[in-house]
Amino acid sequence: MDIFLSGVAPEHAAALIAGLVALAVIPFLKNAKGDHVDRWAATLLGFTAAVHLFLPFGHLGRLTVPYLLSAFGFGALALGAHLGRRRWRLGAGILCPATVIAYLIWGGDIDQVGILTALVELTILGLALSHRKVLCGIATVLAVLLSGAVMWIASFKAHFAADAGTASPTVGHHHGDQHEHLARAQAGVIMRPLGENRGASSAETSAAISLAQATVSAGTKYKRLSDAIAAGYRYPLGAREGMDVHMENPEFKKDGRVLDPERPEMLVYAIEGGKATLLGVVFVMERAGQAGPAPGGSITRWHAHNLCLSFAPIGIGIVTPYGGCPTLSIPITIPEMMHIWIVNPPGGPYAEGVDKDWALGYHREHGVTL
Amino acid sequence: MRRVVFVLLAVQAGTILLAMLGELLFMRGLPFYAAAPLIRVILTLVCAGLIVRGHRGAIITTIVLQGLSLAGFSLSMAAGVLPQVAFTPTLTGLVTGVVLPIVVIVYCGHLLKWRRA
Repeated sequence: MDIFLSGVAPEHAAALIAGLVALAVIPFLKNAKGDHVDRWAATLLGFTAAVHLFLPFGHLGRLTVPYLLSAFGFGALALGAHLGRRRWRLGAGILCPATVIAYLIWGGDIDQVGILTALVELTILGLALSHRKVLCGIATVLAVLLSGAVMWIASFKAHFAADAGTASPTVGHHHGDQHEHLARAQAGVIMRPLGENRGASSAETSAAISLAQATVSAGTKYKRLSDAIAAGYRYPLGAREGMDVHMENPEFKKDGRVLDPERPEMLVYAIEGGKATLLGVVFVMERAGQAGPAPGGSITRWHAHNLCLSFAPIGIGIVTPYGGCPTLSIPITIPEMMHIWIVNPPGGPYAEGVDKDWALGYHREHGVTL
Repeated sequence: MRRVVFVLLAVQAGTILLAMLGELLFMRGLPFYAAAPLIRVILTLVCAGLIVRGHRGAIITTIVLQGLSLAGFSLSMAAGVLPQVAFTPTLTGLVTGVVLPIVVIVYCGHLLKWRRA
């Protein structure tokens, strides 16, 4: 349940519950007129009105008035659709795209409640246009695709921005509020919550520094890519070149040893121009859903990925903000993992990622010929 | 009811296209990763158009396609039993992967029944 809720902003829970209540009640209201499209529109508009009405309860701020105004607008349209008055189509055709665009521009943290509401509003837009089949089909498909793409890009930007802000081991390191989980959840990354104690103690900091030093020391034997391949590391599916090629050792993944600097489950190389540079290692838990040990407290922080596993052809992707995967693939969550960088990048050894430009510069200077 | 199914299928087609783009980006744009999703999207939209006209074959094909979506979701849940992977349900995933296919199947079932009547 914690993982399920990791993509839902706690302050949006009331809005979600209000929306679900509207979904349960509106279809059974009396005096419903109009056809199926009108009744569907009334229910979905009611959901949206309830969500917008209750959003300010979670966080009063500059968007309170627009939320309330849009809630009343959606409520009036829901009533119109319920009574079978066709004018709701024009209103919904204007209000739905307007609120989705406003959400994409000013909505702030993208969470599951916001994405679901946007998807519902785009469905209402489709219903409003449903008397014009071709226009409805094109507009709905494109609106869903483009809105999802923008949400995805925003989520990844937030994720990488959080990466860049990840500091090296320090006592009292603080990640800010838990909103970082929201964007990352939509970007296919499930962060282990930091809990109440977000700062590392001096003992934890020492342990984190020791682990990083041991990993740097042990990593020297894999500086040559050929040595890593000889030790059993394998290329990943897809990319064999780039600034973050993750080489996996199937034997080390099932050896029962956790957080062993001598036997990291993955090595991360920059491979380009006939040269390879070992950037860092990835420790991976053997079982999915199992929490990794954190000797460095909040510094040694694990994360998991929500991926799409394709069967035909074999491949991987990332679960979309709409929670879906391509045809003939299924969503899975892989075991927790933690990076330790051995090249001292910006952000230190426990940064969640390495800036690609920085990695390229380092690789050109220190790369070992293949 | 037919137009509601049409809209729901258009929404589904949009979500599949987005997932296809995500996989293409991850797999370095290799075009054969687009084959299955594109076939599915085209089939979905063609069926959506034909359902509006009351085409029986399109209704049955749509039921089969939605059944595949539900089977994929079930497979994902089953895969979560394996030690190497876990199943992480999300709010939007449940709506697009379970609720939407079930609603479309139910509506298509009604459409088939009405055709017979």
